[in-house]
Amino acid sequence: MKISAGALVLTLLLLSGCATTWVKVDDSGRNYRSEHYSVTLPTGWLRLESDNTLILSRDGILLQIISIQYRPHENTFEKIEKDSSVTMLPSELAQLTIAELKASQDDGLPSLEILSNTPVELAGHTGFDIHLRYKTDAGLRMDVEMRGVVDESGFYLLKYSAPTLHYFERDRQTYKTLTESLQL
Amino acid sequence: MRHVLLALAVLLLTACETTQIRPMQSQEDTSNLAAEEKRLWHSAEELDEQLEKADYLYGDAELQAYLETVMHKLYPEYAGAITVRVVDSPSLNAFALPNGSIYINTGMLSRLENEAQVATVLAHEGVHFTNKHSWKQRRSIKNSTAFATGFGMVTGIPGLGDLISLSSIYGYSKDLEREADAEGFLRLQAAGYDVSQAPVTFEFLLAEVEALDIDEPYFFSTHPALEERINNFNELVSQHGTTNGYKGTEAYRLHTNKLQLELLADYLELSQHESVLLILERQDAFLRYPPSAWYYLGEAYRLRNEEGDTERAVNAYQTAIQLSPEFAPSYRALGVYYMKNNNPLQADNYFIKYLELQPDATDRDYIEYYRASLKSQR
Repeated sequence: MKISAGALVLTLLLLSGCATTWVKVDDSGRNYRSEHYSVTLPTGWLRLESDNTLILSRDGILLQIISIQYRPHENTFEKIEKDSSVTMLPSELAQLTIAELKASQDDGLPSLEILSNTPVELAGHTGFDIHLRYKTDAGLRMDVEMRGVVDESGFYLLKYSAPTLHYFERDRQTYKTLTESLQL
Repeated sequence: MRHVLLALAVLLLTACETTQIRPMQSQEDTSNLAAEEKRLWHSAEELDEQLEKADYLYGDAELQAYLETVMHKLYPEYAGAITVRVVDSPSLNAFALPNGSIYINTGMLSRLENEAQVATVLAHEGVHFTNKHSWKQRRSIKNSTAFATGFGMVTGIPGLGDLISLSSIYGYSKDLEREADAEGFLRLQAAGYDVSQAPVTFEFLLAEVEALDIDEPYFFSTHPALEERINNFNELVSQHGTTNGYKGTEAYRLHTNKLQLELLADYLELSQHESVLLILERQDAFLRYPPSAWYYLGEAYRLRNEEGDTERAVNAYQTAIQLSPEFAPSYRALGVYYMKNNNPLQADNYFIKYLELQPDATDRDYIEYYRASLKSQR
């Protein structure tokens, strides 16, 4: 099954609510703090901020995109109508995150391949780390890595997506470094 | 995807003159097509290719061969002209393209119980092909206000799900559907099938449409129309009588067992536990499903998470272990349950058993992590 990378990006942007403008991250703006978390951003990247999502890209959202999203526990997974809770196990969270991703595409993403799904330490909590792959409309393979964790306040999802060929591995470490800097 | 949608748009948009459209009589008629119809066929063939390229098809050659055998029993004079393909989609749908390509979803197949029921669906779709319903219907779509809405939907939302829905929505009018039901029924009877299964096919699906509050006009159409079709089939049965014909329960199970279990897993992956409960809470469900299906029932209760569901889930996992002791996931499920209920010893025993039965489990890292955290609790 194939999905449009453009549609996916557009969905991301629409989901992010009141999008403002892209701002280049410089040394003075590296330490980003929102109401629910703080994180160190990569310098030279562009960031776009909205109500509950922070989007980052270096060369354009079709080439690589990192998003950080906070969602409260109530109706966390909107498409599948599920809440999260602080008592959820990382594997349960991972299962719901994958279900939500599939449900967000009208074709259910049958081309989706889960390459790995393991526990990971994030901001002092144990969460999940999922690496997956799918095909776009044009047959372009895209890789996605998602790390998620819950605390008393809600669910945090850090997602990195880029074309499998060349881009994904190139900026993967930047994404990992960013996730390691997360503080709740 | 865009190519697929364009192909669909061509199928919908191509105008055709209002000459009398006569049904085909045999496979030979497929080589005597009018120019306009040839274009329609060409578009359908392009659509076939796109569906295949887009990884939409369920790759089970044996199942496809079985379904084509059923189709051949129903339409022997069209040998080679009608193909049956299975779409890997959990929704309840089936549709016919004008070139004789019949598609049936895994979701639909998973709900049917025997060969007579799947033959009901295939016989119905076959009439759409032999009687050239796509061609007839497209003219009326072109002239209807509904067309604009439909076309907007297709072009506005790029997804093959829409294409499939649209094939059902705009494929055929009420009159043509009635014609397909009536002629399909006669085909069913002529092929020696148990015709009493025809209304049963629709009754199962009506129950699902009601329970899940499905309002999309799938193959089986919207709710009131579905009831009407059940009545029509019951009338046909009373007119023509039952024949003590072939039901084909065992043959059907043999070819669909794997698919049915996979569908349960697919529904759970999509968090669609309601569908799993509808399938497995049926009185005779476990006559059709292997004992490991108790695990899926337990998972559906766990995901629904209503009052009493935890106990129901635990009972279902335990039943799965009792009846299918080599099926690993039931042990993992109980391990998680005991871990969450502060019984680390019991939890660890179940996790050990799980990994023993499934050493290459894809979630091994999680289980090892849970085991390590249980150690610190003891």
